[in-house]
Amino acid sequence: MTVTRIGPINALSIVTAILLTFGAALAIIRADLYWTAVAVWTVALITLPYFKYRGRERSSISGLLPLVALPYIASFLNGDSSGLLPITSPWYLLLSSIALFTLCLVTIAFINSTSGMKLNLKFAMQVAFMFYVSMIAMQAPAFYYSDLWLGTSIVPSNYGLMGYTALATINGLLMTVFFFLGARTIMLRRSNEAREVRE
Amino acid sequence: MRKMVAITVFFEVILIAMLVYSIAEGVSYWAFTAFFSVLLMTVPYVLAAKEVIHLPWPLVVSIGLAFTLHSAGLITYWYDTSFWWDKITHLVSGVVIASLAAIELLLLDQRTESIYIPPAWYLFLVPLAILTLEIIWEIVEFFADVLLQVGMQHSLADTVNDIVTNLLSGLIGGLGVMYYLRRHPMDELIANLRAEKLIQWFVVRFGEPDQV
Repeated sequence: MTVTRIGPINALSIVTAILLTFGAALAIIRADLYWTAVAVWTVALITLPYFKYRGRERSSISGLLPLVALPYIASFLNGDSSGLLPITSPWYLLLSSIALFTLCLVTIAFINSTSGMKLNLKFAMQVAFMFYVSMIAMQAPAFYYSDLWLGTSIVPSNYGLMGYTALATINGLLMTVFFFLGARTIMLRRSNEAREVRE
Repeated sequence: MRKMVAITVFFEVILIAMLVYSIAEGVSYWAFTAFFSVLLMTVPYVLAAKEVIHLPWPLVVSIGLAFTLHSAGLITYWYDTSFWWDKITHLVSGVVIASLAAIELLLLDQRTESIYIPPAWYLFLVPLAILTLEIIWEIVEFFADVLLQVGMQHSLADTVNDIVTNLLSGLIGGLGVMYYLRRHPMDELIANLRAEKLIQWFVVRFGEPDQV
């Protein structure tokens, strides 16, 4: 899955990494291990190509990574709460969906370009969707055991958790279709341009 | 094929017995569950008969076991009286689904030029597939409870345990595929599956080459 190619790191990536470092600190203060891990993972995705895969081409999809910072910014503006944001709030539903889907999409593109695995666009988007739904799923044990062992109160009830999960899954489906159609359009356009240049 | 018929008949007899018992007890939820299990248990045989795919016999046994354990748990109330019954049924059905997902990935990997999955990555992809199906199932249970009040989801702890159990079965499935691929040639498994019709379907759906 290659849409277009850019250099490994830029100013926006550095700003995002700094924002997410503060985001990780905020999540730690609020005893939210899940979002701490998400922030650390995103910073690793930004910095790893610079240190380990320097000079290697990577997908322009990684330019979307600043979107992962949205829930942390909202959490900072929201003031004190258990966890990053209340799980039943519409803001959490919207921003966590965007952030997690972006992170999954960029991770799949990163795996595709750095590991031995090879995925075509259609299959890569399906894997990104499955990855996203799995990330949504993993919030349940992460928050439940956090509430149990760390004394937080992130998950209000099974009803609240499942309502969030259902709506976040629908969001993921819509984003998968949106990104698939967008990426396919870009790839077709580039393919046509390349053919015209050859002719 | 003879082994497939024997396994199917064996589990059908057990499932039909549980269906009859459920009807006799007048519990519609048990009866519907057993009825659909009887129908679904024929699927591996039908797929083999129509030359869509010949599933390995241990997998067909696991499918039968998953249906039998589920219906047995309902009619004996073991779902309500033993906290571990739910975990066992989720683990067995999770491993079955993980195996089916792994077969799908193997077929894609082998017969689609634009897709290549190294053995180690099955440990990543199989749990993703299982967790996705688990969440879809949990959403179905949630809406069934909201709309029909059937009590499929017992509590928050139950939902969390189901997710963790299925993650575990996905990891078991992924490790199983890795182990298998290191000891057996993949071509041998693919040839035994005799899944040409299914492969063609996969190639049409997933196998388009990248444009750039």
